[in-house]
Amino acid sequence: MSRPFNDRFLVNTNRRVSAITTLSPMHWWPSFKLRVVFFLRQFGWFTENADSLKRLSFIHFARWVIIRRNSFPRLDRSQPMEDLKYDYLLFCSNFNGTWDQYIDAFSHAIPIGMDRAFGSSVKYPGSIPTTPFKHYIRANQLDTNYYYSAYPHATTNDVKRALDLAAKFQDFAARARTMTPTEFQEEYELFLYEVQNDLGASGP
Amino acid sequence: MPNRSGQAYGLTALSPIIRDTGRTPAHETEIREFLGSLDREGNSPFSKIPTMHLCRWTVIDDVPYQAHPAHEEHLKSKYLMFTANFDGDRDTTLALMAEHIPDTLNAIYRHCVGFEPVGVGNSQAFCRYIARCQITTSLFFADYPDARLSDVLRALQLQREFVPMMARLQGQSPAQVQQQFLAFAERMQNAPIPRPGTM
Amino acid sequence: MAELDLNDIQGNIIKGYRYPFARYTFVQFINGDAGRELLQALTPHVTTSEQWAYDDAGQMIKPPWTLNIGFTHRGLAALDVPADSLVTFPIEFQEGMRARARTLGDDNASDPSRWDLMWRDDRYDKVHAWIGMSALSAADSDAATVWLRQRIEAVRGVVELGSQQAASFPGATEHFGFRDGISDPYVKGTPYPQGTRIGKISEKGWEPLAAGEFLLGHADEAQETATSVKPLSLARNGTFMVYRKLHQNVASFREFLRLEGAKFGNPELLAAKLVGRWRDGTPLTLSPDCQNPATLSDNTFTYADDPDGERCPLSSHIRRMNPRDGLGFNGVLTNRRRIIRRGLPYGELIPPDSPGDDTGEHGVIFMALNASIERQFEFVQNSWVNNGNSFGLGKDMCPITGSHDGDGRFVIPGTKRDDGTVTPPYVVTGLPRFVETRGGDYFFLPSVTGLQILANRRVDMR
Repeated sequence: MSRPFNDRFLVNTNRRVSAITTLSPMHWWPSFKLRVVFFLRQFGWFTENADSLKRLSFIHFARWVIIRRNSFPRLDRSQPMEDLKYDYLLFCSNFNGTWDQYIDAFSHAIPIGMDRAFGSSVKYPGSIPTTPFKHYIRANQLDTNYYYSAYPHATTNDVKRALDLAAKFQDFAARARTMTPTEFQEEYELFLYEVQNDLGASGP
Repeated sequence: MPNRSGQAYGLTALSPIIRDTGRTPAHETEIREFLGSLDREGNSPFSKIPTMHLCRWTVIDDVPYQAHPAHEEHLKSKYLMFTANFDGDRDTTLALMAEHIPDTLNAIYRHCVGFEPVGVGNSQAFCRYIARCQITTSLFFADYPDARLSDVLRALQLQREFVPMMARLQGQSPAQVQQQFLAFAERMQNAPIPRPGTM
Repeated sequence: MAELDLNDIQGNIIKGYRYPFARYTFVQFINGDAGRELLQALTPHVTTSEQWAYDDAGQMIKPPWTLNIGFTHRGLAALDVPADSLVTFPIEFQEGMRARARTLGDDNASDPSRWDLMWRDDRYDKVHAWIGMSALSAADSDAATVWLRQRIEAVRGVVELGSQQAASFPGATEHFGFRDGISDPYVKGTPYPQGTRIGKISEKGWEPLAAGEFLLGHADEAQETATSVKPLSLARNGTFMVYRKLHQNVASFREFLRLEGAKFGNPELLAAKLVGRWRDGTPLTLSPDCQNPATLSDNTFTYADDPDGERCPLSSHIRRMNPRDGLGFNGVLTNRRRIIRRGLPYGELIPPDSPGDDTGEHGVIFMALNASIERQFEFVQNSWVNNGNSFGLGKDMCPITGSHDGDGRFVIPGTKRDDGTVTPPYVVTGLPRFVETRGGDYFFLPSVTGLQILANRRVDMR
């Protein structure tokens, strides 16, 4: 018989969104270069990465954080001082779909972007081929102890489609009040046409 | 500013966990136990924070070793990682947390170094504590950086209710469609914002 | 281009037999010796992918019947494959199809507790091997069955659990009345003409897919030889087969087309929108207004000119089964999710002008071949058939094969004309389940080399 299944046991998943957290070491020089890359990105360099993530459209929020060897917070003198040789790259993402689908898409659709982000990490195998890349991510992944979403049943696609529908709906509804039924019909059909790819079922 | 994208803020904070080898259960065990007991949907403490989209806690036990010839090294403390995606600026949301869910924060952070319990009227202390733990995000991606949580929840609710209505109206006369559409629009305008965690 | 070892690869994998009759027999090995004795008798007769010769008139000389063999994970264990090899098989194959019901959407009417008797309870556990025999005629099929039974009965300790007959309909249609089996993957290293099979999109145009997507031990689209199965000699040139008996609710489908088609204004157009092709196979993308058999000679169309599904809905069956370039990134998100489909309808053809019925024995024997059931078949079923998020459609499922329960939604995008006037989208609600699972399992189809290894207990992990 099929096994009983309970989403509660999936610590990295809350309904339709999943958390991935990885921590990977970097030598100081690659770490420095990566900081420069991330810095330049603010001024419009390497933005194709973000464009690709938008087009892949299964990540709500993601971040890369460089934790330098001397910047793990030390809040009290009683806390021992860290003595690390490597800087660390922390990657956190909130994605929809399965883990394999997610890493596959990174490997197949945006390998250059992945290599730019993780290429500074020690023993990073490259995003192609997929299997060593997956082993690397899995080996450096941390489990989530608590994961909250304010809209766990919605994918990022659902959110964006709903926002698009809502904006067009408000615009049309504001105008619809004063239309004659004939005008309304024509405008309503145009409105429906404009939102026709926002009509999938979402929610629990 | 790399912590931000549009109006969205990406907070990353690492709080050192108190190290007490003579204590059972360990502090991190208690943190895990408490976090594991919390509801993750409409009854989550974080559903009381009207700016919070997504957040997570992770205990970092150690740094991963990459095997020979990589250098083997270890952390001297364990860290509690808190990452959150919320609307607006950092201190507004941290103050909302201190105000609405002080018990939750105390239950989590009392196991961390340098934390002063959150009580009535000292939300600034929690802001200062998290600020000390914060690590600047180097690269932040938000797929809908300009949408506030209330926008998202309202939009999802509208979308969910609009399509069945629209399907029912197919084939009806223009006057009927207009009348029902306007009534729907009014109802949606007056509807309360759905509770976070339920959509 | 490396040529594949056609005479080592079982037949009907990289090229379909296209025989009109088939019988699939399921057997249990009471012990390993019995299983091996049967394999020793059958292996010399197994049909490979080798090219068939042509006679002087240019006609292909097809054998009257074919023979192929596959094993469940339980079957491999029954054949005494050692545990250290058994654990190297992919987890979904180890678990078997019944345990994967949640992933596959096999719930309610498709729930394993309601499958055919042979696939239920402890009978399911006894299914060790699938023996597929295709035939040119009904008489050939009967002869093949007699031939097989003689060999099974000659071995003490092999039990025939049951068998399933299937036969094609005129025009290669299925019970809902659509031509089936048009788009299958075109694989690198094969000498066969492409026909309507399609590979992948590249900068240079369409190219065949890497053999490793369908055969173990070969380079795949991720540019690696990825199979976990050990030893390699057992894995190489083998593949995994998904066998599913899918019942079709013919009356429900016809009734739906009649009622909803009247509301939509055009039942045949509605039918085409559900599938993405007209009944004769004409793709809506190429011919949105009417059937046009001329379009069928070249199946290499893309969705570049129809990104919003105004001709072929994003939610239609063919766009879900193979989105081609529709997910962007020049199709790379599709290339690793392709499956080769084999199979035939079962049950009598129901006259098209009758209301039909839901209760009779009629449907399709669906067989899919792929190197990774989890990455290919299960992904398509889970993420593309029973979910719409990849297409921006929320939870909407495939209108034809989705696991609906009277609550399904199907959005038919409208169109905008050059003068700015529009046809609005049409939303179908309350879709019932048209297709129900009645049984099946996951099978490993070894190469001829692999069959020899199994038949002689030569699996050695040392």
